[in-house]
Amino acid sequence: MRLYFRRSARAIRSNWLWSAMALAIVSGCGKAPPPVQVDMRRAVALRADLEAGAAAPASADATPSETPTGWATLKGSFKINGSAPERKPQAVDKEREVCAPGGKTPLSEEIVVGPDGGIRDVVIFLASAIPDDEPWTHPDAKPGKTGEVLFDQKGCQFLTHVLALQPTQLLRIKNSDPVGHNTSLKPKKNRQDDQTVASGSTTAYQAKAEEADPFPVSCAIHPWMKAWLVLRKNSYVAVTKEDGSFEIPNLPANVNLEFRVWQEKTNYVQAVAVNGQPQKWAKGKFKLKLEPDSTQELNVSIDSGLFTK
Amino acid sequence: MLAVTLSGCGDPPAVFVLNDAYFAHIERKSQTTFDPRSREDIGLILASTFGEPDDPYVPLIPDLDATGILDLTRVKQSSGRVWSDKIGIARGLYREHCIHCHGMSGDGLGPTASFLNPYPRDYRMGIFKFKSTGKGLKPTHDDLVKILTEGIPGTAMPSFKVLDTDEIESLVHYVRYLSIRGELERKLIELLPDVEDRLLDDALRGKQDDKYKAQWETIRGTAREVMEKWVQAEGEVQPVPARPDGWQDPETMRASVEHGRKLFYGKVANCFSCHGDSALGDGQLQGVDAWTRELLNDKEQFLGLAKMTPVERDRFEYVKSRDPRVLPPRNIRPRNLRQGVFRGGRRPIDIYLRIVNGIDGTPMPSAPLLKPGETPSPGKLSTEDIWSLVDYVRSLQYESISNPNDHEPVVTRERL
Repeated sequence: MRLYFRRSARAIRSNWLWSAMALAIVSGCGKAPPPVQVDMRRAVALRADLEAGAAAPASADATPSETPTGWATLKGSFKINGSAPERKPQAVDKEREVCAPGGKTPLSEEIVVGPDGGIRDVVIFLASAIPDDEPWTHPDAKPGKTGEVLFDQKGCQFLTHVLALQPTQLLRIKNSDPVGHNTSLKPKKNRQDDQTVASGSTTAYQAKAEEADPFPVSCAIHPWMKAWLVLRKNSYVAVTKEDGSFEIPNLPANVNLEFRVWQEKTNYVQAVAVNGQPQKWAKGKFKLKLEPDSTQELNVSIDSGLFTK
Repeated sequence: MLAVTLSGCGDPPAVFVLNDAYFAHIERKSQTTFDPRSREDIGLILASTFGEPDDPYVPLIPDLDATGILDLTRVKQSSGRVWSDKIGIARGLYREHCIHCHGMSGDGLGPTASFLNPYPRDYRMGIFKFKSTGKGLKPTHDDLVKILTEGIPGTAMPSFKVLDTDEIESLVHYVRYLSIRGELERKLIELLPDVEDRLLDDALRGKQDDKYKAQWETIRGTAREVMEKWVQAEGEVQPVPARPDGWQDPETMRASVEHGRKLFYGKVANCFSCHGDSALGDGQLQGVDAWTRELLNDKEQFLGLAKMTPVERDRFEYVKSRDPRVLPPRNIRPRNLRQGVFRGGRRPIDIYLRIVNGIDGTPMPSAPLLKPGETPSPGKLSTEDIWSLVDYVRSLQYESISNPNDHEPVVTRERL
């Protein structure tokens, strides 16, 4: 709105006729962006193609042209290049005796850098869609894991800031605080959920499908609380530890694999240096072919500037 | 020049407006630059699947019976310009009754939108607040009928009881039509960062048929995903067990209200932490709803327009530069329960459903309800507990502090 007023004010100085016209355009309407011009005849002609086709969506597991031979391990670390960004205190505005124990306000976990520059909670996962059985998927990494995965909160912080699990596993949401919480999950494919979790109590969430991206978890009562869940159908996923290290064992070897790397503050990590060499990872993706029975080192450094944007 | 000036005013053209705000949101979030043709591509896909405001269409998705949720005849009755046919059937109902607030595209950005608080609903997210199904699920047909006939107390949404049943039915189908169309649009935009080449390129037709068919496969799958949830919702109504006889007996009611009060301030139901120590709705003032959260880069906490951080401001200005119709973000306030105004309805069953299911798109969570057959534990609430909370919430408007004039001299109030 302000922009339009300024524009018309300038116009008044130059030419009253123009300004009158501009005012007429501005005041009446015309504020919306240009609508997309669609040729309806063309659109209608395409309807047959929309409504034809297979009843069910095609399976994602198209038979790959390659065959893996053996297994390999990918391990390494994510470190910061430059000084660690400052962690801001959370805006704790209530229940400070619980949420800021000892008067100490907890710090944001958007980016946590260890003493030797390791970045915690970077997610690296296999993005390629691969068959669920051997020789593609190792028995230890197979989909269909069951049992519970604990997701606890204390001091109005989620104790696991980034948690990876399979959709078949049950997420056991716990509240170890003397105050009540609610846990709001916002996945894209699965059902969104938001349950009250009483003090000292637990509740559960069962996903159904894999999620392409990590998704946020929050608490409406304490809106600074935030965590992320990574739902991948197999176990080819790692979240970096305090020192920035990670390890993904039993990956299929001798085939082209695509990985994706994500961090809360940067979203998908696009610019890195791998083992000292600068690389561009478009949308956080990079490809690797691992030697059988080998351990491939992947030591990544990320410029600190990317975390302060 | 004159022609331009004139054509700009008067009736705007009957076209659906692209969700440019969401375009901007996803483009920035994914740190990609979309193909410049993607706006046109999405416009073409949507025109193909759902037609245009004067000539809507409902796609036939193989193996999905969606006639119960999108009946083209009913959709058509509400679409187009306002008129009535020879036998007096009203047409163009949406433009007659809804468009000034909810907008041509169902984006909640009609000409009155910026004057209203709360803003009119943007259907395109596919989220509806007042319904009988659980959190994360679509509303049923009857839920939407109820909203149209009863209106939403405490908001600008009026009751449309004066319309014929057939007209209400038609409008419900049309609202669902706009919502499904808008949600498909959002899901298509979400596909853009990872799409190889383009979402749809009809120049490939007859040349690279495999690729062209695969493009439609993805679009069809996405449309199915959105429509299926609406079909399923009809079977997902939250059961509400009847209360034992005698609950209206004054003594029983008093005890229930007292029990409800304890739960309200207890650590299990935990209502007070947002609705406040006096149930005035002042316990959590920094929350945002789902529609606003997006403008703030998916942040849950917002300290208000005056205290916007530079990052939030930059973010909002950026989205606004791409879609100038976007309205300034606002906090969502927990309901002041002392006014006796309940947006989803004031019947006990309405409040029961709000507590048990939570309210979609808002920070209101679902209660920790003891499931049938589950062993009672201190962290869970039974259905009787929920009814007591309902009784307490309904009693609040009659307490003396809900009526300041009962105990404050008029002079004092005027001086304040």
